[in-house]
Amino acid sequence: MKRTLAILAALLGVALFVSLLAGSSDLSIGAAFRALSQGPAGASLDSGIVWNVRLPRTLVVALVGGALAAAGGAFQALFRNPMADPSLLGIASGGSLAAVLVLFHLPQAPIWILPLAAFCGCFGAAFLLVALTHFGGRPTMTITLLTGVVLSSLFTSGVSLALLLSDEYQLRQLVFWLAGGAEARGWIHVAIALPSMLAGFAILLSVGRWLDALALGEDHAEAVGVPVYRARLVVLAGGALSVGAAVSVCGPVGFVGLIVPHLLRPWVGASAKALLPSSALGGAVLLVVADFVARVWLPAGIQLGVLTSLLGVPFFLWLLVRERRTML
Amino acid sequence: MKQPLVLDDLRFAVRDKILLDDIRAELPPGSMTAVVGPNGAGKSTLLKAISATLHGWTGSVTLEGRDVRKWPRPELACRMAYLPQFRPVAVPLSVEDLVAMGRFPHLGAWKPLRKSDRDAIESAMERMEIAYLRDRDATTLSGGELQRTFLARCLAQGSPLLLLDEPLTGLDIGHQLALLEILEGLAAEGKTILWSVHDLRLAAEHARDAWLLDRGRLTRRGPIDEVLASPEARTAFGVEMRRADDGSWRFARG
Repeated sequence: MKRTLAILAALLGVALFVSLLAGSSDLSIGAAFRALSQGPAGASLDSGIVWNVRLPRTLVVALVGGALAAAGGAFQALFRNPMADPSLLGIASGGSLAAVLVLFHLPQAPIWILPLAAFCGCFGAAFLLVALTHFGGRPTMTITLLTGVVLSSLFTSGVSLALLLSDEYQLRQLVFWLAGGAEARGWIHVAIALPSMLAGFAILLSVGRWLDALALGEDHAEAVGVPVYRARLVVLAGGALSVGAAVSVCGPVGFVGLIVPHLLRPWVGASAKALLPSSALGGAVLLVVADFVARVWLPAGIQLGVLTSLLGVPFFLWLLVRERRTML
Repeated sequence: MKQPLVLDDLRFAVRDKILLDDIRAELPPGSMTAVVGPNGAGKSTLLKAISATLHGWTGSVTLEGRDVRKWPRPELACRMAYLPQFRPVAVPLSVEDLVAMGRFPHLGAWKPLRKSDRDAIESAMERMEIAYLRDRDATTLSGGELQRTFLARCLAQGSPLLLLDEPLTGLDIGHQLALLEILEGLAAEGKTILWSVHDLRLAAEHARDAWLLDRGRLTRRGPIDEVLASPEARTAFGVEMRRADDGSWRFARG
């Protein structure tokens, strides 16, 4: 496990650095090093590009990938469902709806309003999920999952409605945001996302033991002393912190949370203490690479979120065929 | 376990289907009691209720003076190890990780394994003869190996009360006898064991006491020989059971 983590960390370092090289103007490796070493206050044009444009953007992308993948791994264990991911439960789509409403009603709002609204939307969706399922009873995990799916389609309908009601110009903006991407993201977005993501990740990691026990079923988890009801709330809260932060700065980027844990399980096993950190690193690598590809090699219209979906679906189908036995 | 486990007026129904009906019993410390009864009599439901993994039943199950539903979950798990009947493993956890879960109630969510925890895990794996499987992915185990892995988890838990739902199912005869020997050894050490079982021959040879369940009612309890030979057992199973002169059991339908 330590070796896998080291390899992933090294990969992430390389991916982050390479992502600094290309863009509207290409930098050589040496130039990129020089620009980096000059620090954020560097006077050269290269240093400005690296420190003010490319580095924050690629960091945002890495953080989003890591947060989504870790949350995906945690949700898959919590719901004992290989298809569970941050968008399945309506958490991400709650964020989308909130963001769309802001774009729709407050087009002139300051730059930080949109991420804040998306974050609140994600949290509102998670809260609604808990309130609906836990009010007056003890829901089974299946009920929580199904309620999440229903909420998700409700929010998606809300988004569609907003799209239908918007004019040409708004429509373009809404669609752009909904495609998910890191266009023009800066340090402010890093600052918005990082604390919440770290908190969410720490929460998920701290209940790793509970997640492992829950993956074997609720009665088994209870038999080894896991307070199942509280564990579910804690995991939902940790997941909402991570996913909310991710959606708030990048919009809905699909499939990272679904695929990365599946990719890594054969290597690191299913134990949360190994799976969550390696998923975080792996998700960061995957998304930085995808963003690089979308930014540098693909036509301008193909946003990060579109690319992950385009690549994610066939890849996931391939995984399904290869591992028909057990997916989790 | 120093005081008996006391079941009083335990009832459970799903809609109007009564699954457990007015169950009253005491399980004295150090006893090894088999729960017997035909399919659907409520054996698993009873064990789930006692382990507080079933919700919505009425009456009381008292462990050390406190209702099992009032115990904080980890503290309950330190006192009672429960083996559920269905043991699905959908995730590639290693055998050792799975057995280590028995120590979770002692450690909570955070604390790292101590030496005493490692020893408990190790001796549980050795007792269940799965130490050589420790690094195996649990999804690749055979039914019997998986069964022994879960039993090792229960043993590693170190609780004075063991609730085992069909612990013999899926094991070959050699491992069945080995497990029964282990359970007898544990009972001799003072552990209290309540286990459900289908194989009445094995139960008769190894359990001292039995509870007979028939359609949700506890119709007879006592030494297993008496329970099996009782008219209540005949009603429950529709089978006449008697001990032959050579000591072996004879079963005849009717």
